[in-house]
Amino acid sequence: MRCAPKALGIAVGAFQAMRGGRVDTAVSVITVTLFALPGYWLGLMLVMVFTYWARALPSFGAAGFDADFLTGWNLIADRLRHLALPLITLTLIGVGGTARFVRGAMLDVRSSPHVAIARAKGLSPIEVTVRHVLRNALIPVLTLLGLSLPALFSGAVFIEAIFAWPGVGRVMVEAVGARDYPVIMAATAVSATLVVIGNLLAEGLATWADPRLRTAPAGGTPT
Amino acid sequence: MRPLTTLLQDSRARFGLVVLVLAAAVAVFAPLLAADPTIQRDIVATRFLPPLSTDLHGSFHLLGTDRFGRDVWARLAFGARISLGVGVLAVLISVAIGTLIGAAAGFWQGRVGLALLGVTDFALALPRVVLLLLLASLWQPSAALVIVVLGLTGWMTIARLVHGEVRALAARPFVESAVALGVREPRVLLRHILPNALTPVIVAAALGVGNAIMLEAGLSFLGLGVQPPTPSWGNLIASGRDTLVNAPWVATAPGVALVLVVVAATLVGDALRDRLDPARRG
Repeated sequence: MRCAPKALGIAVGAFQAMRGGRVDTAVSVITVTLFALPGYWLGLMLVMVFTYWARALPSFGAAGFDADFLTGWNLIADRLRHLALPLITLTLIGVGGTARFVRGAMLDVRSSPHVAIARAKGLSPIEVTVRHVLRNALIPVLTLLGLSLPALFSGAVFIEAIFAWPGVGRVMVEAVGARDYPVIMAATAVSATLVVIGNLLAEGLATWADPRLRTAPAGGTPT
Repeated sequence: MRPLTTLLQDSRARFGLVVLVLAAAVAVFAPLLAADPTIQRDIVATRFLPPLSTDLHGSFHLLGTDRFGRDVWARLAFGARISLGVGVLAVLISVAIGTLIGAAAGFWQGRVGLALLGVTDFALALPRVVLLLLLASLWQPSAALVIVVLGLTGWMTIARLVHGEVRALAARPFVESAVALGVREPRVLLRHILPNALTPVIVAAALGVGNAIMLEAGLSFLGLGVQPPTPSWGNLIASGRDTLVNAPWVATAPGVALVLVVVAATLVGDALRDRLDPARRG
């Protein structure tokens, strides 16, 4: 569920860096706006459009009132309909940041010597972009991916509040409101554990993707 | 003045600065631009008026009124004071703490540096939103608390930036010569190293202001930040949430204002980075 914005963001960012020019500028305007959109407000606006105006999608909860009586495909459809708005909101606000990041990383890599060599070898622009630029640009994105694991937890707090989604974020907000300290502490501990796991995962992924990190002397490379 | 003029050549920066200056002007001159939002007259007759309408008393409502008959534009203008003020002050606190810790860690690289870096990484490991909720739960919510809480949870990235910069600068010849001249350590750090290390801090601060404004609004939206009736853009959005069906403008107006200001701050930050960062200039 959290992969959608990342994948879309990488695609958009790569496209921007490849095209450049006016298209890039136009898309940049969109991504910076998405980046600045507060999730809770975007959620409200989507509820306004899709629930109140179009009357197409349910605005809150993880299941309809009649969920207990639904079976088979109807049950799945009901769940999916309830998932739609929160998922769209999370995707839209996630795309902006990732696309901006990927675009910056690709523009950085593009000016490095090995790309010039790849071009001089006569590789097609697509091959240069995908195999030589994108691959290198994605290494920091992998780190970002690992680091965003805890955002699974905290990033959705506002979204869960808007859509009354029965998730950990909402539990935490309610606990804060009720001064339920044990629950707050538990939620904090869980998310801190997730951060450590995410960091570990990010390191591992980066080492796997980037041979330079494997051959680096102990203690890491100086920055 | 030269950096400013080159900055103004960037269309992103121009747009961003214009929006930020306008928003700041609205915040500063709010009492002149809008009627006092605390004055209440006839609630029933003036509530839920759509934008651009005039009520029975002949007063004009640019953005309509909310469920208590309060003018949305006035609440927005007075809310700008809270939202922008909180954002800027919180970032100032972050910058102060981050620069101090980062500079100390980068300059005294032994045990002190390791300990400070450890603290920074530890604080960085806690997700910010969770930390915000935790801190907000400990005390009575208020604007001052939001400033302190946002300031205390935003310094880590700045500390790491300053640390890297100071460490690199400490090995440069001009620092060595200052030490060789017998300049005392704090003076070397403050007069010779820090002024050269502030470039990334300025960029991070510009980007941080937008983020802080957004987080303040988020906290206020959840009811953990600025408390109504004091208007902040976050609790304005929250108050418009219940009336989304019959008065969508109550939640829309502060949201659009918020997005505009955050976009502006981000654009100015981007433009500053492109101008100031030698590695990106090209």
